[in-house]
Amino acid sequence: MRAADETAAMQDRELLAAHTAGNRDAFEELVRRHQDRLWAIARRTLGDPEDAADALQEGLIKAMRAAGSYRGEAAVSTWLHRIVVNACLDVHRRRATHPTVALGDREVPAAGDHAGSADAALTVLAALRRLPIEQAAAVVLVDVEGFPVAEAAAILEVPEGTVKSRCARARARLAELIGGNGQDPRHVQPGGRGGDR
Amino acid sequence: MSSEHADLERLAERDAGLLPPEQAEAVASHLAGCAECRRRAATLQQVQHALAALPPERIPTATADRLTTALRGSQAEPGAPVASGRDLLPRLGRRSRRLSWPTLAVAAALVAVVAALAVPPLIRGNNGNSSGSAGGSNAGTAARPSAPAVSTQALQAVEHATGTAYTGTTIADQVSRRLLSGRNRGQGSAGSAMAPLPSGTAASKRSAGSTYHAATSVASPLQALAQPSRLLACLSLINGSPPTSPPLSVDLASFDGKPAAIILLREDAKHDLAYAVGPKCGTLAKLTPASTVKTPDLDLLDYQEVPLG
Repeated sequence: MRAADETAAMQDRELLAAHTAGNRDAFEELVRRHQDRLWAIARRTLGDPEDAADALQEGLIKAMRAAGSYRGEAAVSTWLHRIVVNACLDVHRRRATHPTVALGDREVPAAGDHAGSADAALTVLAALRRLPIEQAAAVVLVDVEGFPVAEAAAILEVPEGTVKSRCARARARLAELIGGNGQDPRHVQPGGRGGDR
Repeated sequence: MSSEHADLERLAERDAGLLPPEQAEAVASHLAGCAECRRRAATLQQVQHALAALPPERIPTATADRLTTALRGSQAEPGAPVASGRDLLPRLGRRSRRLSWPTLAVAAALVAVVAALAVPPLIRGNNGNSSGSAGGSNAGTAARPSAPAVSTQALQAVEHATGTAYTGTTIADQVSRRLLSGRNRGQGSAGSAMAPLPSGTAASKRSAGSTYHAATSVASPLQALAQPSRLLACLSLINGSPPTSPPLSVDLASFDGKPAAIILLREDAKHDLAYAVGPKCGTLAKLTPASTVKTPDLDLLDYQEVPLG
């Protein structure tokens, strides 16, 4: 851990301690420090911005109320990420059980003949939505956000090997969707998001 | 292995170090002689690069605002629904706020002065202490007592009736000026520019709203808001739940020519929000703190962010 990260982790712990001690602004400050990254993870894992906002809100409210149960075995940041990622999975499962809008079938946009980087990013984001949610969460944490496998494993509460295999399957599927395997990316068939394999 | 192409998943597993050594070697030797599989392996690399190259994403302001509101709401009242009047405010007010923000240069200058004086967040307890002097620069993390009650005295201490004619384009400027003069005069206690309301202590003294402000310039439609109980109900409406600390200031005045209470609330460490609330907030709001009054009753005229730093 770099010195700056260590300092940040220490400040996180202090803020959480202040929150549990009754300081009413401490948790907000803690959230402010992490909200961009938490948002990015929720947004890219779930795809839908409303779902992502719901998950972020549910997760952080839960964290705020359960702060007393934080035992310090992981970094505060890891703990926060874990709760928010779990909330993402919850929101996704709820949507899958009681879909308010058609799930899946969100077409991967064609990369186009003049695929610039913006197009490429769009294509990758759209393809992420097609992954089983557990694979999406793993690959977003590791490949997009750059978490070490060990930390992603701590966030997802699965063994490191599981993170690696979820990432591998996710990358293979993304390669397939985005245009590997001889497929023209413009002819990617839309398909729903399945369960984890 | 040598005759069949390696599928993407197997290649990805190899890249992730998931294959036993002998299988990894078999894939490697196949790759050496198979252009198609090398192309697939390259695609996998491209996928990882594309994922890593996604532009950083910041939480949208509206989402962050909603989140803050929800967190505050559930902090004040565990188990309370997260939707609140405040949730609805941005939809009503954001646009006009953006449109009416042309005095940036002047406002920024004033704001700079305010910031230089290290305006503390005026977080007060439920004991009516209105000194507001303890915050220092540690704005974001100043402790607030958790008891969720704002006393009549605390409200009276911040309530004024200057009769100032606020407008959408000048409110930030005017509010900054008022706060500044309050600081200079000593914790906002007195001064002709922001004369405090007559401060009797017994609430019964002002049970009749008509006598309460007889000597002040409060426009009659705002009489109701001058009553602490009504003001508290109005604050609850804005806040979405009964406030746990008094507003920074309440000025019974006018906004764009209409009678309005200018209520300044601390939004976060860097922003205060000025709400211009019409008389209806005082006359239509139910007086029970937990009441759920529909938003149209919240007579919101406009509001502006007043950045401090």
